[in-house]
Amino acid sequence: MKTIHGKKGDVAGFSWLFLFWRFIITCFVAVAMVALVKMYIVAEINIQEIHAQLFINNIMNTKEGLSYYNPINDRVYPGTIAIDNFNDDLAVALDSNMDYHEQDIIAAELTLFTLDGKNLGTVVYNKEWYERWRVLADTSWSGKGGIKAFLENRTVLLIYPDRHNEPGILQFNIMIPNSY
Amino acid sequence: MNKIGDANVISLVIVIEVILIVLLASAFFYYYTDVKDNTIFAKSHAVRDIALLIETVEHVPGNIEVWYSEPEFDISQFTYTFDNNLVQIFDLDTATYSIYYPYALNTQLKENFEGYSFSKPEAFIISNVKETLSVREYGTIDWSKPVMLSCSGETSTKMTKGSFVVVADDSLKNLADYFIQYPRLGFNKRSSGADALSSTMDLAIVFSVGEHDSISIAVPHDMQSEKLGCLIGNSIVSAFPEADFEALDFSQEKMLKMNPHGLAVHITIGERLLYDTDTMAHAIATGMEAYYS
Repeated sequence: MKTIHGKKGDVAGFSWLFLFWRFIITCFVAVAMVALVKMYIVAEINIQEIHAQLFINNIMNTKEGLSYYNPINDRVYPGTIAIDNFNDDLAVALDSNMDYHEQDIIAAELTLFTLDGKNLGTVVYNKEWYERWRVLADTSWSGKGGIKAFLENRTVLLIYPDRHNEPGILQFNIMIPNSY
Repeated sequence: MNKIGDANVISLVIVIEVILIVLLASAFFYYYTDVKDNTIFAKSHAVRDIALLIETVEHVPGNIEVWYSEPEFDISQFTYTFDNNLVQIFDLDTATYSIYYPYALNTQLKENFEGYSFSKPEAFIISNVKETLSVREYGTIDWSKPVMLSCSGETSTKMTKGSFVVVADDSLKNLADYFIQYPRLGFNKRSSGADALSSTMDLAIVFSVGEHDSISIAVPHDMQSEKLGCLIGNSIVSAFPEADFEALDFSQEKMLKMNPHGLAVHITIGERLLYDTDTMAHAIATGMEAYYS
C-alpha cells in the first residue's frame, strides 16, 4: 500500500476531506429544502376529528336514536336521554340509523354517568369493529394502519323510569381508522 | 497531488455542485407544476365535503335542502357517483381511478339514493324533505351579486295613504292576506279582490304566478308607479338572489289604470320563488316602505 507522507500528501488529504464534507453538506441542504417545501404544501386532508364531532351531533339529533323522541309531536329532544332506553336495543337502533354498510369508518362506545360518576350503562355502536380497533388505538400508531381515538364528554339530561330527571354525563369514545 | 491537481478537483466539485443545483431547481419546478395541475387535493376536499354534508342532512330533525357548489374550484370538472355508501369522484377521462369517502345512510329515511351518477354537474342539491333523502343535480348556482335596477331618484309624490287594494290569484291568497293585515303601511282602508278596484284607490297591487324563477313587474306609464315597481323589484332580488328580474314592463292593463292619480303595480312571481311566501311578502313590503319613507 502506498502511504502519503510529507507536505504534499497532507495538502491532498486535506483538500479531499474538505471537498467530501462540502459535498455532504450541499446534499444535506438540498434534501432539507425539499423536505421543507413538502412539509408546507398540504396535500392530505384529515377530517377525523370533524367527523367524530359530526357523529356525536348526528347521534344526538337523530330521531328514534339516543335522544328522547316524542312521536306525538314528532319532535326530538337532543341531549335528553331516557335511561330505560339506554340498552342493547339502542345499539341496534344506532347501527341502523347510521349504517355505513361495508364501509366501516367509525365505531364508538357511549357510556352514561351520573354527575357523581356512577356508571349507568354502556352502549356500543358498531361493536364488532370497536372491539378490534380499541386494541389498535392503544398502540397510538399514527400510520395508515392505526386507529385514532377521540374521547368527549357531553352534559345531558337523564330521565328516569319514574319520570324524574337530573343532569348526567354522556361519554363518547370514538374510534376512526387513520386510513380514511 | 500538486496545485494543478487540486485546482482540477475543486473545479470538478464546483461542476458537480452546479449540476446538483440545476437538478434541485428542476425537481422543484417539476413538483410545483405537478401540484399545480393535480386535482387530487380538490377531489379529496370535495369528496369529504359531500360525504359529511350527506350525513348532516340525513340527521337534521326537519326538512332541509343544501345547494352544494364549491367556490374554490370548479366541481364540474369531475364525475361523481353515489353508490354502496361511497361518494366517488372520477376524472372525466377515466372511470378506473377514483377518490372516495364513505357516508352513512339513515335507514329510517326513504331514499331515492342508489346508483346516482353525475357527470360534470354544476352543483348538487342534497335534500332531506318529508323524510326522503335525495341528491339531485342542479344546472348552475350563480354566486354573483344580484343585479339591481337603477331606480328613479325622483321624489315620491303620491304619498296619500287612503285606500289600498290587493288583487291576487287564488294560489297567492296568503300573500294578499299578509298585506291586508300588515299594519306598517298605514293605509286607512285595505281591501282585496278585483271588485275593490276603483278610481279613488291610492295604491293597487296585483299578484299573479309566473314561471320558474322569474319576477315580472308591470306598471302603467307613470313615473311614480315606475319608481315603486323598481323599489319592490330590487327588494325582491335582495331577498331572492336567484330571482330573474331584468327590467320593468309598461302595461296597459285595465286594473292598473283604474286611477291615473294613484299608484299601481302588477307583480308576477315565478312559482319556484314561492317556497317562502313570508320572505317574499316581507321583501315586497320593504320595497313599498322605501317608496313611502
